[in-house]
Amino acid sequence: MSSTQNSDTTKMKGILTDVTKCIGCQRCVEGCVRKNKLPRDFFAYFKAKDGLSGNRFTSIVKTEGKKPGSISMVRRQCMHCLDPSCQAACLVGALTKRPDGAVEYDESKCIGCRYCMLSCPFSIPRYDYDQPLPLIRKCKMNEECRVKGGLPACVSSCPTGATVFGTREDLIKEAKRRIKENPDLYIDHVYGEYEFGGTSVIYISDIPLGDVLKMPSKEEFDKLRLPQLAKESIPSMVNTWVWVTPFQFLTVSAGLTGVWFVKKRKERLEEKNKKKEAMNKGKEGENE
Amino acid sequence: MNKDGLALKVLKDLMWALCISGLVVGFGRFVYGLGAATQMTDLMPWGLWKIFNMVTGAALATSGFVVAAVIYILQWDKYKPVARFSVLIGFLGYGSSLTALLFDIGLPHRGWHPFFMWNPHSFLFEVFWCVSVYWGVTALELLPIVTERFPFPKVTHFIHEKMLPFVVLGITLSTMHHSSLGSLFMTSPTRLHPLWFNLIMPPQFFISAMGSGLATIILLMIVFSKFYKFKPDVTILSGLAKGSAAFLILYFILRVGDLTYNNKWNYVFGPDFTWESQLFLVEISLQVILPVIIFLIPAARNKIGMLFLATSSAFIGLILHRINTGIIGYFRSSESIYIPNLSEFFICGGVLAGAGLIFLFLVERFNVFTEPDHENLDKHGHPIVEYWSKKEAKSVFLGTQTFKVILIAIIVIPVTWSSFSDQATGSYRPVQQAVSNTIIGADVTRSNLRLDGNLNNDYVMFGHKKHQEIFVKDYQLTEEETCQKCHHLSLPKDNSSNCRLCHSDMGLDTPMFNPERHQSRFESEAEFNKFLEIDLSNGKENYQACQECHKDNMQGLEKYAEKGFNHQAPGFEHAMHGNCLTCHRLIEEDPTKIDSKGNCLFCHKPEQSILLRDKLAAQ
Repeated sequence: MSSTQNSDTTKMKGILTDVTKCIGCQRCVEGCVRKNKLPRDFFAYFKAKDGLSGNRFTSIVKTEGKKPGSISMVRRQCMHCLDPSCQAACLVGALTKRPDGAVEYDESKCIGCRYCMLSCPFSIPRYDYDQPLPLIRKCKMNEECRVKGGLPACVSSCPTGATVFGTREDLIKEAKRRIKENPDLYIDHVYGEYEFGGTSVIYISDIPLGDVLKMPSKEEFDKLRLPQLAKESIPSMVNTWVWVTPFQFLTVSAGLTGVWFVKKRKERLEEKNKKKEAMNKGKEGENE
Repeated sequence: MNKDGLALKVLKDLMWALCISGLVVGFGRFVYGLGAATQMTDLMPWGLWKIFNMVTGAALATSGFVVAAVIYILQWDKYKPVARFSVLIGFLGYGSSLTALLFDIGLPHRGWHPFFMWNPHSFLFEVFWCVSVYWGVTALELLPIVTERFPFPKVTHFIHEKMLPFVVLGITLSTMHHSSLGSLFMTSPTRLHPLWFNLIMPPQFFISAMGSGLATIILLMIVFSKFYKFKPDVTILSGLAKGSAAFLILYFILRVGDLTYNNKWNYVFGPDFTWESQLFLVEISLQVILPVIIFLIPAARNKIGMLFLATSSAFIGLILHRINTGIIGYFRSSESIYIPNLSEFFICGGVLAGAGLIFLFLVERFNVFTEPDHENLDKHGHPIVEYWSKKEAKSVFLGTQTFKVILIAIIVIPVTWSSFSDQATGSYRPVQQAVSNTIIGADVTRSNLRLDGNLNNDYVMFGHKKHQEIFVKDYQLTEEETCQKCHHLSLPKDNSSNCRLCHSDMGLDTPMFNPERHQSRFESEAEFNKFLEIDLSNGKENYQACQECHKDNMQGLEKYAEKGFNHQAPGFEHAMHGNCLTCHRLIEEDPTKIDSKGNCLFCHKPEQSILLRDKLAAQ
């Protein structure tokens, strides 16, 4: 149905972020800003707690670290889901999952309804609220790299190698290798491998990332009574309702016409009967 | 037409005022952008205009299709008197919602895109198509009301005869988009509070819209009967009330069924009891329990007062349900709240007031509450209706009301604009300025970094490698440990080390400004302090500007003040760097020489700095 299911998900490009290696230097943010020629945005962290805004496609969020009193830094960016909720939500099809892994935004189609912002489970898409004619703004996963090869600006500017770029398959292997090599440090979970049907941007970490990434754990999904979302995407969960509508169109219109027809026919029959009775009465009168 | 009562006159004037202020704010929204006109944020992207005007407004305007189904399909002729009225409510309700959406969506000039660029997977796509086509259908259904008063009866007759397919299409589209409006919120399962999120939202929205839509017709009939002083037919109203009760009970079963099936009762009465649970209880009792109890008691159902109470409760309950689902249910997950500001209310009320004015106009000038008599036909077989006279047309556009409206506009426009532009410019609007391509702190070898601490585009060259070397040489640290000296990794609340943490001599007095020497010019310390008005450590307001005394030997200070600097220095550091160095850097021939007054080392004697540094290291 969606473009993703036709193409090979293993060949898709992705980004792996290792939270334990991040020192919070914000160079990824800077690289992104320079690459996309974004304006300054001093107020990003005041607009939203996670620091993403219409002028910041990636940001560093500080959370409590593993040791009491310490802090950890988590990079936030578009997760580039395998079956994105925004793609299913956009009414003009401006957001599409490309076969090379990125969720791309077509500026020329967008009408600015902001439904993608509402339906993204990670609340990633941001908006140019300061512009009179605004557009949706989010990470583009650097189109040049996806086509020609090379690294996205955020990955190439990372000094510690906390964030790496590659095919999704390789990245998951690498993530699992790191966890296996250092089981005491890492939590044994690759964030984004299965949640919401899987994402192209995945995380490994020494602290639970559920709150930061807005990616609930299995227990939290169970608590929300949505256990299927730990493996399935949102569009696949609600897709049945999309097909209800055309069916509804046919049945309701047919039903209404049917009811109207039956009612009319009854009326006509009654009228005919009345006429007949009247005729009969008339004839009887003549006979008398 | 009978003359308007005082209440109606005041209501009309208020509506005009609201409508005009809405237009003014709408103009402002396109000048300053959504950020200035609304309180919507990235985390709460859907605000009052979408949730209240569109989602709620659509639900309250359902009357059109329910009554159409009753009259045209089921052919219950008893309800014919409310036919035109309810279709009109539907038409105006949807019209006002679509108008509000034009202000809400970012690029309204692309509003036609969904007609050509399809994404059938989208729930919003379904809503868009159904709502826009349905609006067209209601307009067609309403056309006879307008055309029957103009002298082309054939058109009227034609539309009247060929009504059925449109009615069927209208009803079908209505059932479709009401369920789609519910499914809009199904795409955010983890963000919407579990009390409002469930996987059977489409039928819930559809059924609750029908129940409350019927209640809304009753409510409006009662209100308008008060304004226009006629007596509503209680049998019709109580009949509608029975239908409304049936839908509301069905809705209640669906809602409670979801809570039971998914085992969500712990959110209502249990360990997860929060303010959302209280809100849910208020909502469900207003929307369903109170109206259903009243509707089910025949004695209460036949009293206008009780009907008014029940229907207004259902009306408010529905608004509460839609706002809870669309706005308040998202508060907890997005960790932010949304409270609409004045300009949002202006547009929200403005479009409703506009719809209300059109409604009153149609009610007064056309036959909305009565249909033309189809028994007495003229010789062509058309019903006899009084056509519009020239005098009536003239009174519409050149009556006293016109002058009143102009007067209202003269008062309202400046008031609204002043209040709006305060809102727009009061919040800080950053200048959109692309970051220059100069590399900031991104030297790969990291030998030199350019720091811009106060973000004023003036960079300081920071010898990163040099600092590392000093640490290795002077303090016997390993290479890895040198990093930690400034980058206190994983220290709580550590942003980035300030240079002053080590170079604490940066803010101290230098030999350049020598208090003792200054003091020696005065007779006593007290007099000197009196001259300075304070002791020196007490804030910048109390400092005497240097040029107060040194008028002759500190020339060019006026120029310096012209540049926009404050000539009153907030501290010694600023006094020296700002008042002296700014010009000396330019005046001196070669600032790189140590004995030049433009060089740092002229004041910051190297020996002194090193001494201080060692003193700090010993601590």
